[in-house]
Amino acid sequence: MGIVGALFVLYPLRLTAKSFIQCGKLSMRSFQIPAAFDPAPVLYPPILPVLVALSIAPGNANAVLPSLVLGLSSVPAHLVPQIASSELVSSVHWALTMLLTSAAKHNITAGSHIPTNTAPHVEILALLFPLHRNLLAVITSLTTTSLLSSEAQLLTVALINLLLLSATPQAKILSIILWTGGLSLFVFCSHIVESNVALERVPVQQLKRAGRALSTGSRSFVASLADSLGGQWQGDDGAELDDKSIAVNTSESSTTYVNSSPLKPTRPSLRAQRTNTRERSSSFRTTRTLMLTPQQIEMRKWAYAIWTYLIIIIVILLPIRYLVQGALNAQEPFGWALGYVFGDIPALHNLITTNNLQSWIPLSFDSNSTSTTTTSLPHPKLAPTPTPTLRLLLILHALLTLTIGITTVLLLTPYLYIDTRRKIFHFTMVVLLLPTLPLDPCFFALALSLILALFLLLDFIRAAQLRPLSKPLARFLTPYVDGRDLRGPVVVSHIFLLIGCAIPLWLSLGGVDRAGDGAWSGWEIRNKDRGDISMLAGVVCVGMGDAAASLVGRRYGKRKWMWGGGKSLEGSAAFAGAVVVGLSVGKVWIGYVEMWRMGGEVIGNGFEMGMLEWFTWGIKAIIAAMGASFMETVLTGCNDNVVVPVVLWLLVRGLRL
Amino acid sequence: MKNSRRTSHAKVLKAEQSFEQENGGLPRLSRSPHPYSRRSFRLESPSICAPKSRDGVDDRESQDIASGPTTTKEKERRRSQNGQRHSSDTASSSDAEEEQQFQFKALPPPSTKPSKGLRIPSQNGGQHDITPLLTPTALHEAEGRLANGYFDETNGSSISQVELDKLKIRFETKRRLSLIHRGCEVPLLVVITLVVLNGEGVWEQARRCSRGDYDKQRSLRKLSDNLQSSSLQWA
Repeated sequence: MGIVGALFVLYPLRLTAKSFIQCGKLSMRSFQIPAAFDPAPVLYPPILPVLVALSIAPGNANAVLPSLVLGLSSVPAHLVPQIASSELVSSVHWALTMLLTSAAKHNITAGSHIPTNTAPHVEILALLFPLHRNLLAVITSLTTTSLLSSEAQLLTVALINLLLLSATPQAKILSIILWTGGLSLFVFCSHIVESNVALERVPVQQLKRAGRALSTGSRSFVASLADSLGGQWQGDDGAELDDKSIAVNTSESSTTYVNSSPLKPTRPSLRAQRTNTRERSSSFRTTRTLMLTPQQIEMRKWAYAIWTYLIIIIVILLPIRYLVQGALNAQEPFGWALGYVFGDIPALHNLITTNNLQSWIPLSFDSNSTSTTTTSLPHPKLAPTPTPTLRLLLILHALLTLTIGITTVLLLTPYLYIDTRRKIFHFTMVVLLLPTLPLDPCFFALALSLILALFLLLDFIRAAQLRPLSKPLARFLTPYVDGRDLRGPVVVSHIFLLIGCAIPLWLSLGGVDRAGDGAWSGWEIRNKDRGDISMLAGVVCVGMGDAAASLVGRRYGKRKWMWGGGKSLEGSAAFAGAVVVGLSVGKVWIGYVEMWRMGGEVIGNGFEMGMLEWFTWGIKAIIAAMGASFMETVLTGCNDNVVVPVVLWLLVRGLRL
Repeated sequence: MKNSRRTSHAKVLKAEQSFEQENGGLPRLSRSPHPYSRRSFRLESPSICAPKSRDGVDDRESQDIASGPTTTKEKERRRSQNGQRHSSDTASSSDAEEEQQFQFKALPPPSTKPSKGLRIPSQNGGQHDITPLLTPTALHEAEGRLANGYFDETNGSSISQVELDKLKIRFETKRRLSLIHRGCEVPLLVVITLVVLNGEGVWEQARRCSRGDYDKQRSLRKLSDNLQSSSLQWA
C-alpha cells in the first residue's frame, strides 16, 4: 500500500519535473485533473483484491502475498516511471513487485507464528507481474471493448488468484474449467472463429453468383482448416486472417483467378469500391471474399462450426475431465456427478450396488445397509448433512423458478419496459437462491461455477456466430441487452449478474474449513461456518437492492444526487432498505435451516440473541447497506453488479454480521 | 436498373435547368435545412457553410477571385441577385447581409450527446470512435471549448459576455460536482479498508507480526548464522 501511495504522490512531481526539463519552466498544467477523470482504474484493481484476501485469510501469507503483488501490478503503467519508453514491460514496475515480494518474505520468515512451508514460493511471486501483464493483454484482445479497463484488471487478478489459491474442490473445478477450457479454445479455435466472423460480415448479395461458380467445391475441409490454422495473428481485426486464408484457398483451387495477385485488384474489387464506398479501405478483403459463392461460404461456416464444437467436446472430455478428477479425490467426474445428485434414488442405488459400480458412481451412504431395504434411506429433514435427495429437490426448484421467471418475462414483454423486464430476472435470482443457498452452499458453489462456464460458452458461440446456435441465442438475448452490452462483442449483463450473485458465496467458502469423507471429502462445511451470512451478500445486493433501487427510483425518485445523473436519493434509500431486509431475512432463515438440520436444536443465528444484540446487529446491517448503496451510487468505472456485492461482502464480514 | 437511374438523374437536371430559366438564371438554393448530417458531426458540404475570412470577405467571393479574373459587372449582378433573394424576406439590407453572413459562416459543431454504450462516427471519418461509457463526455467537451477560447472568438457575434459568464459558471459548477462525485469513491474505499482491517483481526495479526524484539533477534541470529556458514564454505 505504501508503494502504491508513493507512486500516486510521485506522479504529479514527475510530471512537473518532466515539463521543467522540456520547457525550462514550471508548468502548473501538470497538476490539472481533467473533468473526465475516472479514478476507478487507479483505486479498485490495486485495493479490492488485497482487501478480499485479508478478509478471507488475514493470517495466511499464501493468500495475501499474491494479492499484494498483483495489486501492485495493477497500478496503471503511467504511474510507474520507465527507464526507456520502448520497453514493453516496465522493468521498474517489475522490480517494485519483486521488492515487495522480498520485503514480505522477510517479514514472514521473521514472524514466528506463520509456518514457513505455507509461504508462497519466491519464484512464483516474482513471475506474477509478467503473467498479469500477458493475461491482461489476452483478455483485452479477446473482449476488446466489452470490458472497461478496471474490469479487465480485476478479472485478470481474479483469474490468477483462482489459479494460485484454489484449494477447495469447487474452486479447483472452476479454475480448471476457466483456465483449461479458455486456453484450449484460445489456442485451437481463435483463428477459426475469426474466419467465421469475417465470413458472417460479408453481405450475401455481394457474393459471387452461383451460376458463375468456380470449381472450389472440392476443397477439402481439412485443407481449409489447415490453411486457417496456419494463418498469422493479425491483431484485433480478425478479418485480415480470414481473407488471407480465403485468398489462398481461392487462388489454389480456382483456375480462373490463379494469377490474381493480392496487390492487383480484380474486377469484383473495383465493383465493390464503386458500390460501397464505406468499405473502400477493405476492398481487398471484399475482393477475396467475393470470389466465393454462397454455397462455398455456407460450407466453410458449417466447417468452422463443426470444428469448434468438436474442440469443445474434446476439451471437456479429455483435459478438463482428467484434471477435475484431481479435485474429486480421483473420482471420475460424470460418475461422481451421478452419485452426487441421484445417489438417493432407490432404483439407481440398487442398480449401482447390484452391478458393483461404486468405484465409478460413489454413493453417499453405506450400500450394505440400503441394499437390503430402501426404506432406510435417510430423510433429508433428519440428515446431518445435505443429501442427494435434497440436491435433487434444489435442482427441481431451480428449474421450476427459472421456467416461471422466463415465462413471466415473455408474457409481460409487450407491457413492460426493458429495465423492468431485466429486474424480473433479478427477482428470479432471489427466489432461486435466497431460500435454498443456505441448505447446501457447496452444491450451489459448484452449480454456479458450471452455469458460469455454460454462460461463457454460449456467449462464445453467439459472439463467434457459430451455426446453428448463434442466431437463436442472439434472438433470445436481443430484447434484454442494453448499451453496456453493445459496447463490444460480449453480452456481459447476464454474466455479471451471475458473477455478482455467486462471488460472495465463492469467497465465503474459500476461507472455511471443509468436511466430508471419501468421495465427498471437501464437499461439506463445518457447523461453525454454516451461519455465515456473508454468502448471501450477492443475492441480497443484486437481486433485492439493485431491483428495488431501480423500481423505486424510477417511480418515486424526485431528489437527485447533487452531481446529477440518473440516480436519486429515493432509489439509493430503497437499495439500502432492501439490503437490510434481505440480510435480516437471510439471518433468520439461516437460523431456521440450522435448527431444522440439527433436529430442532437452537444453535444461534438470532434465536438466542437479546434485544440489545439485535439492535446492534441492525445498526451494523444499516451501516453495511448504506456503504453498499453509496458505492452503487458513486461507482462508474466498474460494473456495479460485481463490485457492489463484493463491497457488501467485505462490509458484512468486517462488521461481523 | 442503371437505365432508370440515368433517367431519374436526367429528370432532376432538366428540372433544375427549367428552374434557373424561370428565375432569370438564378441557381437553385441547394442549402439543406440540416447543415449537419444526422450521423456525422462534420459539415455536409464545405461550399455551403464556408467560413468567413477575417477581412470580412466571404470565402466564396475570394474563391471567385482566386479562380480567375471576373468582371465587375458580373460581381454587381451577383450581389444584386443576392440582394433580390433576401429583399423579399428582410426589410433592411443590413439584416440581409447578416443573414447572408450567417448562412456562410461555420456553425459551432453540435454537442456530442453521451450515448451510453453506443459507438459514434469518428470526426476523422475513419473508424468508429467508442463513446467513453462512464465518463462525462459533455463536460469534457465543455472544458475543451473553454480552454481553447472558443467563446472568446465567437463572442462578438452570437454570445454576449453575460451569457459567456453564465456558461463558465455553469461549467465550473458541473466540474466541481463531478470532482465531488469522483472524490467520494476515495473516502468510501478508505472506510471499507478500515472496516476490513478492523473486523477480520488484521490489526491483531499485524501486531503479532510487528511484535518486535523476539522476532528481530531471531531473524538477526538467523542472518548471522547464514553468514557464518557461507564464510565457512568460502574458506
